[in-house]
Amino acid sequence: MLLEVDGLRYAYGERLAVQGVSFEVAPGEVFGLLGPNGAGKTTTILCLAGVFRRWEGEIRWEGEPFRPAERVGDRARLGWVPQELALYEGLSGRENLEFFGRLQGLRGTALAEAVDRALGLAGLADRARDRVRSWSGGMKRRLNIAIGDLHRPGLLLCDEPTVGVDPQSRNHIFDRLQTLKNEGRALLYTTHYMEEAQRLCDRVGIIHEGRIIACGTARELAAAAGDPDADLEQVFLHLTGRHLRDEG
Amino acid sequence: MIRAAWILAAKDLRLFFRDRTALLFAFLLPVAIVLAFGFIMSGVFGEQGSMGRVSLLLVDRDGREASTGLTDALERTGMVRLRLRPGGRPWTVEEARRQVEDGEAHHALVIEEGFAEALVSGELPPLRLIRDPGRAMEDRIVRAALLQAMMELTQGGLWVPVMRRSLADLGMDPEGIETVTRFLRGIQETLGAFLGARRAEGAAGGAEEAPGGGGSFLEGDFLALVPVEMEDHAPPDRPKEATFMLIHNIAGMGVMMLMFGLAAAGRTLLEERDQGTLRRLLLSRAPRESVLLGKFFSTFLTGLVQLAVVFVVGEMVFRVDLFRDPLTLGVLVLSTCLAVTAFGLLLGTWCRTTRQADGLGTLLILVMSALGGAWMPLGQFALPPAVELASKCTLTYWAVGGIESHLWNSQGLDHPVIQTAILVQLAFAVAASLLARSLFHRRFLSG
Ligand SMILES: Nc1ncnc2c1ncn2[C@@H]1O[C@H](COP(=O)(O)OP(=O)(O)O)[C@@H](O)[C@H]1O
Ligand SMILES: [Mg+2]
Repeated sequence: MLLEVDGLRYAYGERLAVQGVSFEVAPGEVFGLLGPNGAGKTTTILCLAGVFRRWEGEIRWEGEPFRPAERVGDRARLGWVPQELALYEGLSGRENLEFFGRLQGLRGTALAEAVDRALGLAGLADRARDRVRSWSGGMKRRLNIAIGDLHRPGLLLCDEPTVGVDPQSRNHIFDRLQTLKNEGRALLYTTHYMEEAQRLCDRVGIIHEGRIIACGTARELAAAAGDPDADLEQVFLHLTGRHLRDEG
Repeated sequence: MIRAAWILAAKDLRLFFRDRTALLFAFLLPVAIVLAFGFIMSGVFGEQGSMGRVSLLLVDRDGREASTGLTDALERTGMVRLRLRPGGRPWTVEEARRQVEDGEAHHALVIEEGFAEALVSGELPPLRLIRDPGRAMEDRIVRAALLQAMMELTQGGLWVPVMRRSLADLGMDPEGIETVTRFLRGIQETLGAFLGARRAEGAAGGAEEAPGGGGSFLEGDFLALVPVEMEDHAPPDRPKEATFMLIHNIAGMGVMMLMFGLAAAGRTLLEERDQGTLRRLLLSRAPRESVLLGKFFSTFLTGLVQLAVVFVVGEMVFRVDLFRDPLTLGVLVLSTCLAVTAFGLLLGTWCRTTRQADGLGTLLILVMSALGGAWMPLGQFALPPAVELASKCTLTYWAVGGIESHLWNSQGLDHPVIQTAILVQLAFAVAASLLARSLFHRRFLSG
């Protein structure tokens, strides 16, 4: 296994946001965390990415203990695409990529190549010299992903990368993630849109109130829900008695 | 229309009064500024609330009762505070000179030998003023006080010897001067009799009598008539065009604007947190402390450029040779930038929101500028000890004081005043940086 998460728990003060999340991501796999708003997806991602250090449970990378908050080497294996845009609006797209690339240790021609490639893949090459402030929301989202993937990490953590995006940009983002998948890169993808999970993910973990309540391929989940033709929306309804789009 | 406006206004007020930070600074800031200013102004302008007392060193070489008469009269003017040496012994001329040269004192009055005799004989009494030229405001106050005191001491008779000297300066022969003197003495006696009668009348009628009434009508250009020999001490390399207020304002405003600039730079730490980029930085390969160190560098460099611009433009406009000792100025600028950078970062790590940082930053900068003498040149007034202590507890005091002492008194790196200013600022820089670092760990890296 590339990544194993076992009994992950995290509390904001008194409030338990993640209470015993376990799942695995295999090499080259796209694993989806599907759940309504407030289910604990972002919190899980932040523990994995190394933003939080006070989580409990176990995380392993290729069988070894994984401590991204403490170890630079561990963090560098990951790419993080935050749910909220995290860009310097006063810099151009290229400058943003160059800056974060340098912080990831890229330099010289390697940096230039990585930046050009990222701009091309994101379809941002012709606006690369403009300040990000002047870009559309969809373009910013694509840059947000490009920055997370710039150093070609072993596993890309994508936290709801399509939230608030127009359909056209959404398709673009989808194509981009599909390319990653075809390259054999591993992806951990969170969303509250079940169509996205169904379309993109090899396996899906359904998360609800801080717990994984079901995990498997779409087909396995449907079978477990007692109806082989059920989609993920129906699975979720069967498991929780609620609709996915209900606020958590 | 009006109803809708009221609904909108009520919403604004509700939001405003719920925002504790905004509330705190809307009311705390003005109160703190008023208090700080009130505190400093009561220190400067004293109880009477009219004019600040200027501190004046006294060297009494005559040492007779007449000297005491003069010093009492000077104190009664309410314009100067005589400074004796701790222990009460008077200063020597040499000490007074050194104090003026060091910028510790700005004016020293020497009562020369023969002062008492001259008063009796109606000659011009020998007085000397050792002073730092260019401190125009203090100079006028000291000389006005001196004129008023001398007029009081001689009961208005002073102007006869003053006139004699003026006529001699104009080249009148001694005989002519004697004629005029006899004439003047006649006027003086007549006038004295008249004023004496008036005074008695006034006393009988219960009317108030201003002290030193004989001389109080002499103002303005009459100050030039003050019967005193001037002895100016200024550092030889200080340009004649430099006035103290100019140097003071360059230092004071420069430091205050630097603080505003670097508080804004320190605040970007909170901005980056809010816009999410801080997390990206913390998740990169860069060591986490380098994020804070990077802010330190950028803030510090911003400060250096800012001060450099102030001095270069100041020099281009005023031409007062600000760069005559670039090494000392450079070290002062470096230590001030280090200290103010640490202040900015402390603000950015201490505060929880950008609004809080703005409010607290403005509050601290304005209060420190008022207390530390960035606006009012506090050094020229005799301050009560409590005010002086409060002043010395501000970063502004040392930052402005260091630059001012260097540019005005031409004190270099070998001078204790400059060394102290540098050391205090460096100590603050180290302490505040360490505190900012520990806050950074606690507030930004744990979770
Ligand atoms: N900074 C925070 N402080 C306190 N509670 C939080 C914080 N962030 C998230 N939560 C709570 O933790 C739970 C999980 O949130 P989150 O992980 O953001 O869910 P999701 O990403 O699935 O929408 C929610 O109930 C949310 O209200
Ligand atoms: Mg989320």
